[in-house]
Amino acid sequence: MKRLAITTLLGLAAVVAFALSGPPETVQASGVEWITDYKAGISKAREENKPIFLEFRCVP
Amino acid sequence: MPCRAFHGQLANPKGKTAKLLSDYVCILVDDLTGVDIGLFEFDPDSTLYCFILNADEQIYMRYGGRDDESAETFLNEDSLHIALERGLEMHEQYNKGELEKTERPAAKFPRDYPEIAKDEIKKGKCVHCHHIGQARTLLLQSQDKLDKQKDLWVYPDIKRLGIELDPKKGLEVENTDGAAKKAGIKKRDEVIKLEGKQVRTYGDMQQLLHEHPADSETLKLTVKRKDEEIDVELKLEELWRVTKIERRAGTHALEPFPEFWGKELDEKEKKKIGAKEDDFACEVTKFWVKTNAQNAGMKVGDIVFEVDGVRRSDYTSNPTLWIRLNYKPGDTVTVKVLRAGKTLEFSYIVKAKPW
Repeated sequence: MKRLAITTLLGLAAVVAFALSGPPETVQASGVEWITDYKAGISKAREENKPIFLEFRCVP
Repeated sequence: MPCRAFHGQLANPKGKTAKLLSDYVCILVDDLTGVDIGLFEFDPDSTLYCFILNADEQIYMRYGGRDDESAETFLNEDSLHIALERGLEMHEQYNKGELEKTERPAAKFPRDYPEIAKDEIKKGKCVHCHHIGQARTLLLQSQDKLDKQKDLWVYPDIKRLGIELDPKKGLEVENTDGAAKKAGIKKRDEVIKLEGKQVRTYGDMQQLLHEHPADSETLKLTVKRKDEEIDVELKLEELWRVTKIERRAGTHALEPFPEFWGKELDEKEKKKIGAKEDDFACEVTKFWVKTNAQNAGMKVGDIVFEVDGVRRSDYTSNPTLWIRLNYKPGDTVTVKVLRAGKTLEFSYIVKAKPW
């Protein structure tokens, strides 16, 4: 019983960790995905061989 | 178009913008803390600025830039489409090895500025674009290296060259005047090079203009007229770098403090008191703390129209900026003000900071 509870807890922790570590922070709207993690954006552009549109939003 | 609205269009693109952006990886950065501002150098008093690049961090072009009238003058869907289409073409050329790689500039980070390191970064706050301009001025000033005649006049306005562009058509010339007209640039010409370097957007052109030596007397441009490329040389006028720098965060840190805060009167208000558009006329709005100007007798509501005999300048129509540009802490300033129809005169010593 104790082993089952530990296994369940570990399983849940793994699911939560996976959810939290999932894809880079993104904001998706109207089909265009805005990645807010610069390095993740660079990696994605390399993988997909796409150019990058990088926007600096300066409005405080 | 308000900048936030333009960003809204980018975030929720429709039609052609959506189609073009789907061929890109889109990255949004609103905190400059870890950004290499050596590579991504741009006008810090922008509200939005974009780069088109590739995964090797080779920058194809910039999209953004501003003028005195607005931070949004050059932001619109039409010019964005032109930039995005060219970006895709350049990416294809890059993949085929047809584009020469550019050397990466020396890395630089916001934390390299002591003011940002001890404030925003230490306190865990976001670093915004305008912090960079302000920190740069403060650093030069603290090192006694600030040349007020050169260092503050950044990101010149292309109109000072006598070139008026149609913001929707990228670098197509809408009208010419002054130096550009004298050099032979014509309506419908497209600017394609500045000092031999390719420019594809207004942002590209303004960046190169910013990098052009302040004391240079000429500027080489190449324009495309129909299928012909024509080189022209502009004779730069003395004030070619002058813009309304009082809108820049960097000038707010300039020493000395004028000993009052003020709001420049608009054209209508100036007319009412018999002043011309470029004349000094600045209403004192606050002192914040007890300042020497207040101790000398100045009051909120006074209209400052003269500083030591000067009533207008080619560099600024704002007397508070005039004081920051032309005086040192410890100097004595004599101002003339209008109060209830009467002219009054006050002399006081300016300090470095308000407190």
